[in-house]
Amino acid sequence: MILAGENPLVKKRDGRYNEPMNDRTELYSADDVRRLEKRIKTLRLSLILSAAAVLAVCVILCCRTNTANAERMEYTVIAVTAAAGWILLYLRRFALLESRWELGHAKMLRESEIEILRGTVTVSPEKLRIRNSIRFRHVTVETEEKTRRVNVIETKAGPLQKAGKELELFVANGYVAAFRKL
Amino acid sequence: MRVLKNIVSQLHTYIVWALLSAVFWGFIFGMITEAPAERKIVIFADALHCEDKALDIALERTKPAGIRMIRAHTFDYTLFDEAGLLNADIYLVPEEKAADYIESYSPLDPAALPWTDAELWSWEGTAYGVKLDGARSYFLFRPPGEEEGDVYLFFGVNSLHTASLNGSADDAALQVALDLSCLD
Repeated sequence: MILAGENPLVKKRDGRYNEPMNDRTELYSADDVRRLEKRIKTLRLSLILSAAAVLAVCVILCCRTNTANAERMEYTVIAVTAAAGWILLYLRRFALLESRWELGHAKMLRESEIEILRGTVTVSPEKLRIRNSIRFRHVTVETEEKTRRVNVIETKAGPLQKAGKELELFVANGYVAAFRKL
Repeated sequence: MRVLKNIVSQLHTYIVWALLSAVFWGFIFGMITEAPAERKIVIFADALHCEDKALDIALERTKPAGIRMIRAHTFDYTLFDEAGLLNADIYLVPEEKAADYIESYSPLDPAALPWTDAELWSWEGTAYGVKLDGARSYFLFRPPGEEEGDVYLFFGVNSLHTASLNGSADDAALQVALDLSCLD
């Protein structure tokens, strides 16, 4: 929703905007989206190749098993599988999935209708998480008429806080998509 | 700190993964370290103790063609697997107990044995066993302090590897028995 009388944003009728907004800070630019997509691709490939390498090592160890070393080989293979699995599971959960959720959020911000809020902005220190999605923080905006609460993705809360107190926020679906100092 | 927090939040996943790894590879190694009866020689000893792994390794150095593994056990091993005991290829039994398992032995044809001048154990006029001179260091047949008496080697009546005795597939058990008698 664009507030009446406002200078129109570089925004198209269908609610999408993708021209750069020169005088404001976008939380996710087109380059950021591309960078996230590339990171996800690289991570996925790395995880698959690493898992394949660990499996190959375990198969080789199995092939080299004989009566003398069977017990030792079994413990080695179990240890290698468990340790490698822990590392890969950790990376999948806290690198790959987090990046995927962040990419989904970035695309949502760039493709949604914008609402503008101006006022005194306070970012809550409390970190919250949507299950199987992004971490975020509450942002309180005290405008002239009322106090509104919106959210900001946790990874971009720092830049928002550093921008100062009096800000113009560009909000998409209740999440800060861009901001400008007043 | 954050990494630790992340790990704790997913601890259940890591525990399940570790358990799955152990179960999966335990199953795979169970298959790898087993072989069908046609590819395996099984030795059962009526002994108090057996250095089974060391003996397996020593015998597998010269195992016959077509044999993938050799396994030695004491009779205790068959607590829940009597079929395994009855189908063994080779039995090692102290002289005083030899007659207890007579039904499990295959009668011997001394001419078919690879030994010359072997001391035989007979029952009702039929030869069944050969005195074991080698490999005694791998077994404890009698309690410490008691005199180590004679131990005899018998071939299983159901063995698949005593062709000269019961017309089975090959003579691998005879060869292994010869190797056993040559060990220290």
